[in-house]
Amino acid sequence: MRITFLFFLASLIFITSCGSDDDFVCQPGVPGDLTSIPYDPVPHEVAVPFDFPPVPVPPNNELTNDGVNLGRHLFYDPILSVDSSMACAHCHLPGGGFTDTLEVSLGVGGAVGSRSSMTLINAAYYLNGLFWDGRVQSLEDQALLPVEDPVELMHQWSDVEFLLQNHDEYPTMFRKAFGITNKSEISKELTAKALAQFERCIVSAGNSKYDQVISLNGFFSPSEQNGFDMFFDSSSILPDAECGHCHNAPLFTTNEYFNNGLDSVVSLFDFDDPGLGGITMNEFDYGKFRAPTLRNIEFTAPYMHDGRFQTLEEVIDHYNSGGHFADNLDPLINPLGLTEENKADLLAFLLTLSDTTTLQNPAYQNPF
Amino acid sequence: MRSPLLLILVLFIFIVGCGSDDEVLVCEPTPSTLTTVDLIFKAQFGSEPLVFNTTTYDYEGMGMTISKFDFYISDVSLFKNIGGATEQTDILDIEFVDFTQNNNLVTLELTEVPLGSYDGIVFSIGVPSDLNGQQPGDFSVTHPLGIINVGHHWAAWDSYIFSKIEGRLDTTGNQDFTNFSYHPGTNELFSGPIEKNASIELIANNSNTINFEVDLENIFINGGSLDIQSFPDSHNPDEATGAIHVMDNFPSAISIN
Ligand code: HEC
Ligand code: HEC
Repeated sequence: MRITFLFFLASLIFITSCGSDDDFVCQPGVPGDLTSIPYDPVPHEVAVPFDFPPVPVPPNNELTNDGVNLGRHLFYDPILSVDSSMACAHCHLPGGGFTDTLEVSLGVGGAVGSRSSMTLINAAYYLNGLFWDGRVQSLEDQALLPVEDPVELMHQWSDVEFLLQNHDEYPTMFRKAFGITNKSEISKELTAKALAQFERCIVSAGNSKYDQVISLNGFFSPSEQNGFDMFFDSSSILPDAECGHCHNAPLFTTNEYFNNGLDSVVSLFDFDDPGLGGITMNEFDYGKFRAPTLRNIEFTAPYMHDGRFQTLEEVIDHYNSGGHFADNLDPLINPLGLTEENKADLLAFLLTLSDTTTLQNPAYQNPF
Repeated sequence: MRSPLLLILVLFIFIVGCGSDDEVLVCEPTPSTLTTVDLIFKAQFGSEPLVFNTTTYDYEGMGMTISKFDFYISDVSLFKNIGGATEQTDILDIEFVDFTQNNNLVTLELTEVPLGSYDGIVFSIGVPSDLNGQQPGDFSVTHPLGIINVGHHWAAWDSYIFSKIEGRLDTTGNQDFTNFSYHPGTNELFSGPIEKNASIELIANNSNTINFEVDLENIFINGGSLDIQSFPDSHNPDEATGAIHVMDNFPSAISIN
């Protein structure tokens, strides 16, 4: 009888103590705990033009609505810069075709960079290295760099992590995006992942005149058609402009690296900016840069890695001249023999690549 | 008495029949009858290994340098001659062989190739017409015909570019350069099937290799040297000379060892 009673008592104590354990866990006050906020990731779909493949997404950073939303906030938030004066968007403005429309970018405090900002449209598809020289391979790796770059945001990641962890809203947003259980898990890696998610969603809307014509919903003017034919070498009457070899549809880039004849050098090591060669150290890569997309090229002046050309007319004149000779000048860069009329037609075609609906897409604008 | 015997006979046939059914199943490749094979591609210029940019080759008395060389290989199968017939085993649909980006050594690793002794290999150079009607956006981004190789699709021809051969010719020896770039495409220029006899022994747990040697000089000179100065490009519909020459010569320029 006694034993039974003792057993009963022991059981009771055991059950009660279990209960109080639970109570303890549920009590608020564990510093930084986020588990009371629901984590229900919803996959984020990205619409793409009919001739684009689905947006490629790395398996360890699937797009979710909350991830993209967090990335968009971070992209526009000057919290990433040392003096809270500038965000990523400062140099990648939607209205400027996601560039800053400067020759070379200016960072915090007016620090002068050495290269021109690049568009972010369709960056998800740039799978042959990012930046003008291809020095990083993924949007996640890229997004880690501007924060500490002395000519960009000039901050320290440890400080940025501290600010985000102690922010009023970001801990909740990181919880919803990545399911973290505690504020202290907010890291530069997760910040970069969120930025990359947002950037992967910045895809052409498919509403440019070019898109309409090739989807059989519109017609080129005769001048635009001539420009198209020269761009893609598809006429036996008009001169070949060779552009499509390096700026091929549908992205209007092949993402390859070329010397397109901008500079005159005695030796390949003499380029002011070594470009790809500075990364690979291969002699024939010096002075090569990644061919950028020409979609929305109307809005991203000035042009080239150092912003040397102010207008598309100057760009066309450059190609028409055949460029400067160097040992690695691309064989497709030759004097083109374009007349004034040919040049005007080529320009008319380039302008058919403009798509303001991409730039004005509400999902890409400043959320603050 | 008769009927039990009949029953036993029927049962016997049934069981044996089952057994032979099983044997048919065993004929399907199983892991133990499959092996891995590396297709290894190297480019030559005549007797020397091809070196990009820095080596000047003699071409009709002019100095030639090469800056780009690649092609699509497709419909690859191994064959066995059995009596008067040939049995063919498909091993690869399509791949992109890019000498430029890979320092003139391209290895395609194939897994799940049936073991055995083969008498040769059949392949084509270019993109077969069923795939050639499609566009980069129709494939996953990293497929050989996908966005990653978008520079090898030419919308104006509605075709993939089967091969790119680019470089320049110093026509006078005084750095008087003619740039050339051949980008053949379109179904008419598809080159294949190309059949090469070779005794190929694929054994288990071994590093099986099949070596392809592609002689770029032969691509230019076989059937009479291509007049590069007169036909330096093959981009628009009127410039077919170089493209036809190049595609016609792939079969004789490739050897297997
Ligand atoms: C001070 C101006 C500036 C700021 C701020 C800035 N960028 Fe950039 N961005 C540039 C410049 C300039 C380049 C090209 C640099 C190069 O090639 O070396 C570039 C390139 C890129 C690229 C490569 C695009 C491509 O096609 O290769 C991406 C992606 C990018 N930036 C994203 C970001 C993100 C994300 C942030 C915020 C974390 C950011 N940038 C902040 C100026 C800036
Ligand atoms: C051999 C490859 C090649 C060819 C052919 C070529 N381009 Fe380019 N293009 C490039 C490269 C590489 C760059 C970037 C160069 C740099 O900044 O150093 C570039 C840059 C540009 C830019 C500036 C883009 C920007 O965002 O700043 C424009 C515009 C342009 N090209 C238009 C054309 C046109 C029009 C044609 C035909 C007349 C053409 N390209 C032919 C490789 C090429």
